[in-house]
Amino acid sequence: MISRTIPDTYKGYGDVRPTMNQTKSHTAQVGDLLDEDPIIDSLRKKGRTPIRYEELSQIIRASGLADGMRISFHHHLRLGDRVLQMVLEELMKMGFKDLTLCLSSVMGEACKAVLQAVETGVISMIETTGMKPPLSTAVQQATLGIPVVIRSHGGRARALMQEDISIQVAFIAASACDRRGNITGAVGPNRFGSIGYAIPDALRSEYVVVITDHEEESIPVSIPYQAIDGLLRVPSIGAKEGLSGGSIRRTKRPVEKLIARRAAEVIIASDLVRAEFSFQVGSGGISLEVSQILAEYLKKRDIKCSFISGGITEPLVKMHEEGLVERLYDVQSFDDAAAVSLSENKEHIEMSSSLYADPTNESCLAHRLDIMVLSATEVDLDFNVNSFTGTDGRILGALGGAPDTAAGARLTVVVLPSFRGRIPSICSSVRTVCTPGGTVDVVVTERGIAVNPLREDILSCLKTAGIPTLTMGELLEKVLGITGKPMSIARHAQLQGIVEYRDGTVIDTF
Amino acid sequence: MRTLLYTPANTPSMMIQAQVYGADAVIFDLEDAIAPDKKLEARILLAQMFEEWDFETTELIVRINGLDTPWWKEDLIALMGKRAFTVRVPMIETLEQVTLLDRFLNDLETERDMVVGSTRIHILIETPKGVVNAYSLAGASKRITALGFGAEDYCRATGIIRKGPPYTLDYVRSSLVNAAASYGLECHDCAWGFLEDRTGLEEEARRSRSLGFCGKSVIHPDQIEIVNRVFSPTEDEINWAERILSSLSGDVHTVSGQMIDAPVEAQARRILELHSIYTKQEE
Repeated sequence: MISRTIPDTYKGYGDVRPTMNQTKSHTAQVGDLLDEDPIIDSLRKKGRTPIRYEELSQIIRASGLADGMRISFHHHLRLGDRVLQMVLEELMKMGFKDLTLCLSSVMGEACKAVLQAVETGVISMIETTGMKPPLSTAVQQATLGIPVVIRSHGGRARALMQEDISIQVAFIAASACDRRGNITGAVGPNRFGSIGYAIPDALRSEYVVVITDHEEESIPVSIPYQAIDGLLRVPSIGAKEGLSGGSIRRTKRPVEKLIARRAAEVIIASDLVRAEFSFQVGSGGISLEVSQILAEYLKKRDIKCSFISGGITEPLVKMHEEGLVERLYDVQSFDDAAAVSLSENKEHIEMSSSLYADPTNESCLAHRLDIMVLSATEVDLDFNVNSFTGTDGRILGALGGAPDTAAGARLTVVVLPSFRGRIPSICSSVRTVCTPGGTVDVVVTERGIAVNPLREDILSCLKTAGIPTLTMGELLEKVLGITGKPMSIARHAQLQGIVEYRDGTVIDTF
Repeated sequence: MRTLLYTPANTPSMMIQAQVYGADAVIFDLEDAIAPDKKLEARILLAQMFEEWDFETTELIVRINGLDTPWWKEDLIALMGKRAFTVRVPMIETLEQVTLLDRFLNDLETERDMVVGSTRIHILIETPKGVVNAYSLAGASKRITALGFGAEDYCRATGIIRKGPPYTLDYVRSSLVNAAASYGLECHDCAWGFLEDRTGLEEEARRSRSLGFCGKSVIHPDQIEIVNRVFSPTEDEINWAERILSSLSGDVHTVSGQMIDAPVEAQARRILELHSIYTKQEE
């Protein structure tokens, strides 16, 4: 049960359709894996010819941008991103007002720039997958008061592809372009790897602006020149050292390692780890640790995985290089090793967020996953998952691709410590529902494992393997026995934002 | 016990998680891990935890401060009677020390309406003198259920390089195993302090097991899996034990060329018993 009170309308967003209970969308892989994202071909058909500009203001003027329109950005440069800041500062100088900012996500210094743009009235609505302080803090203060829409990566891609939202200008950072204006993120001094979140933007925006700091004779083409309208060369698109900032690292925490070990045992017991299986691990040290335990298991059993998708890291690249994984489908490269691999390895394939997780894309890879391992801030008695806010309602993370992959994977395992500090992570009702419980199969903590009663098959596999399980109620009781029952924290009187489910309905508010 | 996990007794975040990692016992440390000015607060914290915390089936051990310090009596006064635990006492060298501890425990047990003699002791042998006296020390009190080896102090005293060739500690290890076995006690090997060196840990654990130790102290949860594995009966050993026992019903007196007599039978039974205990624990 999701059981949330959802308003009928939301300012700047319009009518709201509440999310009904959700179930799995898994579809078995049929035929060969795709060698290229089909959207790339659609981009070629746009038939544009990029015009080179000397000044950012010129390109903005040429874009036809006007007050009240929507602009978009992608966050592949992560903490190193300077493009978002550069553009917002220019828009402020040029006197733009009431723009809607549609982001794949935002973090680091760029959050300050967005906040300043909101405070000066340049931005009057934000659509994103996640955000960090000081922007998140300000959004949660009633004084800021602008509408905020949180979407998953697949939900954002769907909204664009289905033209639920229309973008006037997409600003795309590229680490390199060639003479014709083809672009990539995979080479150049500030390479960041996949440009996947920006690909639907390039297809659906009225005007596509590329900002780059490097030109080469020959580059791997991520977005072909025919989809680009204006191109600007700047001294630097970002700080390379920040590119892997905020990304995932193998954990050294004993509790997290224990959870990872247990999750791997669950996955192995599920009998899904066989030839040609596929998997994805979410952000977070526990998830990455699970992938490394699985890698050892694959080596010992001589099992080859067909593909890993999502955010790609060096350890996953290594698995591919060791012959454990046939293909890597990369929507976001979390470190330089992944970026290098993307440029050099033909089995490391760049994919758009639509191919990755868009529920209306018939090739959607999230729907072909066998196993998904997700991190969370909270899980409740109905297996609903919160990965966006803390128990106190503070924005901590992002939706990412969690709702998409949970719905798509044959087995979705949520990994989290049963409490953090003195705050239980298992609760009777999560503060913000991001991923509906109907799409979550197993919850693994250091204090016990709970299986969704909908998945009797998994329960039976674990029983056969001798892995003890608890009901979610028993797990909650056990955790509260340690932490005590926390007092509930009152919600803000004023609505701060809405969380849109991947199908365009609204699953919760915050 | 295969693994005994040391946990500082003044760090709640570690203390409340200590029981989840799969160690056979948790040792709450009031000695080396706690600075002199933190001893009091550690005692108070541990006493409160003993009163309120559900340790489920975890075997509890407390390493108290040495008998040559001003703190050991206060350690026991703070904790005795709160719940059952084994006292691990460091740097034991003489019978007088064991007697002193034994009498103090007798008095506290009497004062607190506990069964006299119910508190068990692990003695830690960490000095050359302790090694020489190990046999007498092992039999010095009925409370003693295990001997433990402390390598760091022993190496310091003798000049042995701790991470030197593996045979350098064979003499002391064999001496302690022999002393413990003389009284039917468990013998626990020292902790491995080189956290990044997992290969070294496994090699040392294998050597200890081959010398007769039943387990090893660990100082980090990452070490538990390796030590539990090394000190658990292997698949080959279990198969061997099963073959031995199944042959007993017939007229066969040898299995794979090995003569079966009472000690062989006992060894086979012990392997299967340990396998059963550890399997249940891991469930």
